This record gives sequence, C-alpha cells and structure tokens, in this order.
Amino acid sequence: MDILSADNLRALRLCGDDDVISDDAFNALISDACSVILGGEADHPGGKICASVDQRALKEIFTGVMCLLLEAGKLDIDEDQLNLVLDDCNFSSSKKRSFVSVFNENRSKIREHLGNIGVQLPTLVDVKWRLDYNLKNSSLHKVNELKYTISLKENSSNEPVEFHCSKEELQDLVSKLREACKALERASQV
Amino acid sequence: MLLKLSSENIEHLSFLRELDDDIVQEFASLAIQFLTNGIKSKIFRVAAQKLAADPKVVEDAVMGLMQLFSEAAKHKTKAEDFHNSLLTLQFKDSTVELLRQVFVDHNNTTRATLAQCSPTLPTYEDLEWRLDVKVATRSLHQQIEPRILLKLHTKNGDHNDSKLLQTDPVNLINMTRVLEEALNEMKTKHVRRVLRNIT
Repeated sequence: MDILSADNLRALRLCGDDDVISDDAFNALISDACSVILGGEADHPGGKICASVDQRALKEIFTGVMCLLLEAGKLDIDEDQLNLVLDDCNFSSSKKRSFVSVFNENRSKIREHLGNIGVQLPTLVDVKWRLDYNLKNSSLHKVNELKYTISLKENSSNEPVEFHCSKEELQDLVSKLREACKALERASQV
Repeated sequence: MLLKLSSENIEHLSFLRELDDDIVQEFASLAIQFLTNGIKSKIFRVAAQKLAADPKVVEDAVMGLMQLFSEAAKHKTKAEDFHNSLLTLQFKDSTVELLRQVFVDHNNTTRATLAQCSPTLPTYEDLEWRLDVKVATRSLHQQIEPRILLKLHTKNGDHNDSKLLQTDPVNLINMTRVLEEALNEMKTKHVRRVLRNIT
C-alpha cells in the first residue's frame, strides 16, 4: 500500500538501524509526534534521549513518523495493513509494536482532529426567541399584534441571525423543521 | 375619534374646494399612489398646467391629501369619523363622500405601507432544508457525519435576503423543540389575558 512519499519512506527506513535510533529514543519520538498532531508543541522532539541521535536524521525521521501517523489516521488503516507498511520500512519487531500501540491508542483522537479540518459553513448552535405584543409605533397606532423575534446563534463570531415572524410564519417554520427531523429519523433507521 | 388636522393641512386642502369631483378623485388616487410608490414631481407640473394653477398649490393639495389619508390610517379612524372630520373643510357633500370612499377602499393598503416604516428586523419568508451525510474530506476518509443544510429566506421591505446555515442532528432537534415551546406560549392564560385586556 503506497501511503508514503519516497522521501518519507527513505527517512523511516533509517529506523531499521538500531545504531541510528535506539528503541527508547524512537518511543520518545513517536510520543512527541502524537502530541504535536493533537495540538501540542515540541521544541526538541524526543527530548534528551534523542540528543545523541544525528540531528539531521532525527528531523527526517520525525517528519516521516508524523506523516505516517496522519496518513494512517486519514485512511483508518487496520493493524495488518499498518504492519505491512512498517515491514516495508524495515522496522524491528519492538519498534513495530511500539508504533502500532501508540497509533491504536491515539487513532480516534487523530481522526477527530483531522475531521475538524475542512470546508465548514457557519454552524447553528443555539436559538433564542421572544414574544412581543406590539401596541403602537410612530407610524401606526392600534397595531395590536403578537410578534415573535427569533435569534439564531452561530458558532463563528458573526452576529446572530435575527428576524421577526408572526404566529402563522412560526408555525410554517416549525412544521418545516419537523419534516427535517422526520427525514433524519427515517434515514437513521435505514 | 375625529381626526385633528393642522391649520397648514387645512389650508393646503382648501384648493380642492373649487375643483370638480372628477379632478378631486384624480388627486385622491394620486395621493394613494404616491403613498405606496413614492412621489413623482413631474405630475404636479402637468396637473398645474391643465388647471392653470401654481404647481406649488397643486403639490400642497396632493401632499395634504396624503397627510389626511395617512393620519386616518395611522389612528384606524372609522369611516363615519373620517366623514365628520372633513366637515370642517367646507367641501361639497359629493366631494366629502368620494374622499370617504377612497379612504375606505385603500385603508388596508395604506396601513400596510405605514407598517413598513416602523423599526423592524427582517421578516421570515421561507425555510429550505437538505439532509447530507459527510462521507469523506481531503483530510479524513471514511466518515459518516450527518449534516443538515438550512436556507433561511427573509424580507426587509423590498429587499429579499437568504442565509445559508448548517447544523447537526442534535441542534436541529433542540431548535425544533425550543420553537415549539415558543408557539405553545401563545396559548397560555397569561398571553390571552394580555390580549383581552390591553387594546
């Protein structure tokens, strides 16, 4: 399965050599890679344990590990397929076990993080309403009408969407929303 | 309740005293038209030429009629009160009757036009919805995420607007429940008591 670029593959194959990066250094590195993906920071990936690793190789391996974690999360690949990819990278059994275990532990969090990236319209998160009885205004006396003010709040920093409606208009709005709810219910039962 | 006409208004309307009923009818129709669609100044000059009168006097007469109809509509004046309010203007009986008829025929339209002048938010027109399931994005394959797309149409005077929003199932169900509560509030004793007693 071709999920890595040639450069990343070359960098990960360096992990096959225990002289380049030891098991402990590798474990620290993949742990830091996961926390960076999930929003953390790592000024010195791998910390002190990786200080003895050749820094250029370390940087390439770190990039390769991050790419592999992201691609595996994006495609939601299963353990067998992941093991095949790691065999291709000449990982030792201990390094393979560490990687697979860290990935499985963080799989759903990585996928959740990736799911938030993409095209998003403003999302409705809340609705408020107000019922007024309009007696009169400067242009018109004896109005005597009930009127609803509806405010729809979005998750972005935009101003809420506000509008007036009469009882009949609100009934129309609510009936359309009920139709949408029914369609949702039917779709979820399929 | 009788209308209170200002002395300036009475003075402007006095021009109509000398005119024939069919011309008064035309002036009244113009007044209603201008109230709904805006004033066209050219018409004053044309009318003034036909009547051999000063265009300013013609303009004042039409504006006077506009003021008369809009004040009557604003206070929801009854037809008899409107009729009686015109008696002070010393018009012919036929003129008073035709103005009363124009008022009655166009009262609702005039009130609707005046209603647009009050401070107001956009009004609800329509809601369209669409149910989608997000199956994949560039960053994440193999997803199942239901999404509901809503298009809300509103109107503010002549200006129509539409806003595209999306929501998830939980928020859709919550929104429906909250707005159903809002509708039910209208049927409560408290609201009925207010409607009955405050007019």
